[in-house]
Amino acid sequence: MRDVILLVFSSLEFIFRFFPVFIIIYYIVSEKYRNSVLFLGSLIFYGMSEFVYVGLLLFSAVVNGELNNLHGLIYHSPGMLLLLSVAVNYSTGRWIPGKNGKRRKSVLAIGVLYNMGVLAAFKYTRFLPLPIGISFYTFQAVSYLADIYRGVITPEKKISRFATYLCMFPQLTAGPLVSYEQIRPQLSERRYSLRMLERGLRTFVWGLASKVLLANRLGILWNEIQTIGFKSISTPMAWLGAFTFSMEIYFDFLGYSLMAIGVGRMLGFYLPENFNMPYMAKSVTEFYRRWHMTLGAWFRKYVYIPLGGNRKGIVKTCRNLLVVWALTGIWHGAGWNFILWGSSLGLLIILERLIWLKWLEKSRVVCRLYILFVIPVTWMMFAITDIRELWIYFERMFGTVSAGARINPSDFSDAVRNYWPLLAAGLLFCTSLPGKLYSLIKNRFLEALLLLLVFWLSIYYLYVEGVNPFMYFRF
Amino acid sequence: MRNFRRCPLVIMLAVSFLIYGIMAEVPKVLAFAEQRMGKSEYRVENLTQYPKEKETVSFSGQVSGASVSDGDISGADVTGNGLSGNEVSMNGVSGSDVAGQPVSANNNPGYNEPEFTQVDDAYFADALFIGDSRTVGLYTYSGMEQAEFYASTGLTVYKVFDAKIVPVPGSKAKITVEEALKQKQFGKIYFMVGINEMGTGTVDSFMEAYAGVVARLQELQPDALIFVQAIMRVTTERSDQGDYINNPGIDERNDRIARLADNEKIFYLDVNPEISDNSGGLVADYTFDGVHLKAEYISIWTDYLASHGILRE
Repeated sequence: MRDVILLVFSSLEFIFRFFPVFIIIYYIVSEKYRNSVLFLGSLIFYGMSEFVYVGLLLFSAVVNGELNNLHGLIYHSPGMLLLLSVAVNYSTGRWIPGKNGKRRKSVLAIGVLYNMGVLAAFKYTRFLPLPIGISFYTFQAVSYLADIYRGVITPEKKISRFATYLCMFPQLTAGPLVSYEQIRPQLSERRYSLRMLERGLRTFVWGLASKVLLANRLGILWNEIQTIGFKSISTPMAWLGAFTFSMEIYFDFLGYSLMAIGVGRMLGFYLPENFNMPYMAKSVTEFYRRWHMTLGAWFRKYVYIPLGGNRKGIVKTCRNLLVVWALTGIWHGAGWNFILWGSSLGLLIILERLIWLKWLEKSRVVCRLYILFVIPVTWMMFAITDIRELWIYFERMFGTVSAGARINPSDFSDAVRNYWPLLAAGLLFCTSLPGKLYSLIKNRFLEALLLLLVFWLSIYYLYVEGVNPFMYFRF
Repeated sequence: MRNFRRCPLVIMLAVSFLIYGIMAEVPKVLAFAEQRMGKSEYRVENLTQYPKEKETVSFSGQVSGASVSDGDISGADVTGNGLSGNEVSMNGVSGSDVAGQPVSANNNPGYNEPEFTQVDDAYFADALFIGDSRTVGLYTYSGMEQAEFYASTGLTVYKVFDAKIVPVPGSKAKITVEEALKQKQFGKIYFMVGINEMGTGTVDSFMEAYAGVVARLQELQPDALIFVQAIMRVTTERSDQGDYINNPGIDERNDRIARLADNEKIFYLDVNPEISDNSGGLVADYTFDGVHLKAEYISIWTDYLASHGILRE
C-alpha cells in the first residue's frame, strides 16, 4: 500500500486545498446529499482518496477468495479499519435485542469486545502503526452500543447515517468525543446561516492560532530542553520545562478542539466544548472537569456510574475513581508512564475527596499554588515515556542530585530571555483575562479584522515551518 | 452589504484567499512560461565540475580560494533549481575511509603525519572555537573556561566573518568575528561548521567558501594553528529521514575538508569515530534530536580534542 496521507486542520493542504473545495461542494449540493458529501469528504480526509481503488481490491479479494489479502488490506489501511468498524457496530447495534429480549448483555459484550480488542491490538502491540483517531471513534462506537443497550437511543436503521456519524472528519482525529444521542438529530436536520458560517470560521481561526502561534512555538523550548538532555538541566530549567510543556499540551489540544468545533459549525453541526480554562481550577478534581471534558464525561457515563459511582460507600467510590483513572491513563498510551500518570491523578483525586478538597475550594492563593505545582509534575509523567528519563527529570525538578553531569547555571535565564514574550502570552491565555477582553469586541467588525490578521500570521508561521523546518531548529 | 455585515470574516478571508492564490500562482506561471521559452541559464552555473579524491591541492601558506582543476563530473545530478545539495550523488567516499586518518587522501608531496599529543586545560588558554550550535553546546557544557568561543546557532561558512556575535567586554554591543579577529591574536583556532549549509548550494560551493574562510583566518591570524573539524554526523535514523541532512552528504564534505590539512599550520580533526555506532551514524543514546550531542556526552568531544593537541617547538 502507498503511504496514507492524512490531513490535519493546521496544515496548508487542509486550509488551502481540501476545506475550501469541500465546503463549496457541500453547500452547492442540496441538503439531502450533504451527509453523503460529508461521509465521502471524511474518507478523503482520512487518507482514503484511493478508496475506490481500495474498494476494487477488496471486491476482487472477496471474489477470488483471497482472504489473506483481505486481512492484509485491513491491517494496513486505517480507512478500511474505520469502515469495518462502521459495519460491525452498525450490525451489532441492530442485533442488540429490545428491552425484554434475551442475551442483551452478551451481544453488547461482543460489540464492546470487538471495539476494545481492535483498539488494544493496535495500541499495545508495537508491530503496527496506530491508525489516527482510532481511540476516538472506538469510544464513540462503544457509546453508541451502550446507549442502545441502556435504551437511550434506538438503533440506527440507515447505515449511511451511522457511517457519517462515526467517520465525520471534524472530530474524527482528536475529538471532541460526541455521542450518537447528540449528533443524530443534527444528521437529519441542520440549519444553515451566514452567521453560523462566520462563527464557525472565527472559532476555527482561534483554534489555528492556539495551535500554531502558541503550542508549536512553546514546543520549540520543550524540544531544546530535551536536546540538552535531562541530566544536564538546572532545577529552575526543569520547572520551566514542566510549565512549558503544560502550556504546550493545553494549547495544542485546545487548538484542535476549537478547530474541530469551528469546522463542525461551518457545516451546520454543534459539537460540544472540550476545555473550560482548566488552569484556573482550584483542585485536580476540578481541573479534570475542565480539561478534555468530553472524555471525562465518557468515562463518567460508561465506566464510573455503571461501576456504582459514588453511591456505594466511600471504599467503592475510591475504587471506582482509581479504575477510571487507570483506564484513562491506559487510553492515552501503551507506556508505563501513562499508567503512572493516570493512577497518580486518581490517587490525588481520591485524597482530595477524602481530605483537602473542601479546604482547597475555600482558599484563594493556596489552591493556585497547588495547581501550579501538581499539574506540571503530573504532566511530566505524561510527556516523558521512558521511566528512567522521567526519574532523572524528577531528580532535577526536586534538586536531589548534586554531583554528576555538568549543568549550565544560566540555562534558565537564557531560556527566559529568549522566550519570555511567548511564555508571557501562554500564561496570559491560561487565564480568563483574554476572554474578558475579547468579549468587548465580540461580534464587532474589529473582531473580524483581528481574526483576519491572526489567521494570516498563523499561515505565515505554518508556511515557514513547512518550507524550512530548520528555521526553528537551526543548528 | 447586509451579507458582509453578517459574515465579514468569511468574506474578507475569501477575498484574501483569492489574492493570495493569484500572488502564489502568477510567479509559477511566469516561471513556467519562461522555462518554456528557454530562459534557463541559471541552471548551468550549478553544474560546475568538482574534483574527485585524487585531487592534489596545495594549501601551504596562502590559500587561493578553491583552486579547483578539472576533475570528473561526479554525477552532479542537479535538477530544477539545483540548489539542494543532497541531490548531488556520492562519489563513493565513505566516511570511514577518512575517519581519524585525515591525511590519507592527501597526496601532497610535502605532507607529514601530524604528531597529536595529549594536552591539558592550559593548552586551550589561547584557543578560539568558531562554529554553529554544536560549538555553542561545547561552549555551554564542556567547561573549557580558558578558551574563547565565537559560536552561534545557525552560523554558516558563508557568513562567519560578518556575524555580529562577539560580545565586547564592558558593553552591550557585539562586533563581528572579523573585527574581533583583528583585535586579538590566538594560538589555535578550532573551526566546525557545515550542517546548516547542507540545504544550500553544492559541495563545491560549500568548499569554495570553506577554503576562503580558512585562507582569511590565516591572513588575520598568521601565527595560529588552524584545526578544521569534520562535521559531526547525525544519527542513522535522522540521516534516513530523506531530507538534505544526511550522513553521506556529511562524509562527502568531511572528505573534502580533510584535504585542506597541510599538517603544518592546518590540521584536520574528526571526532566522528568516537561518537558513531556500527551503522556509521551518531549513537542514538547520545542525542535527542539526532543532530546535537546531549550535554552529558559533550565530554567525548572535549576528551578527543585534549588528546589531539599539537605542540610547537
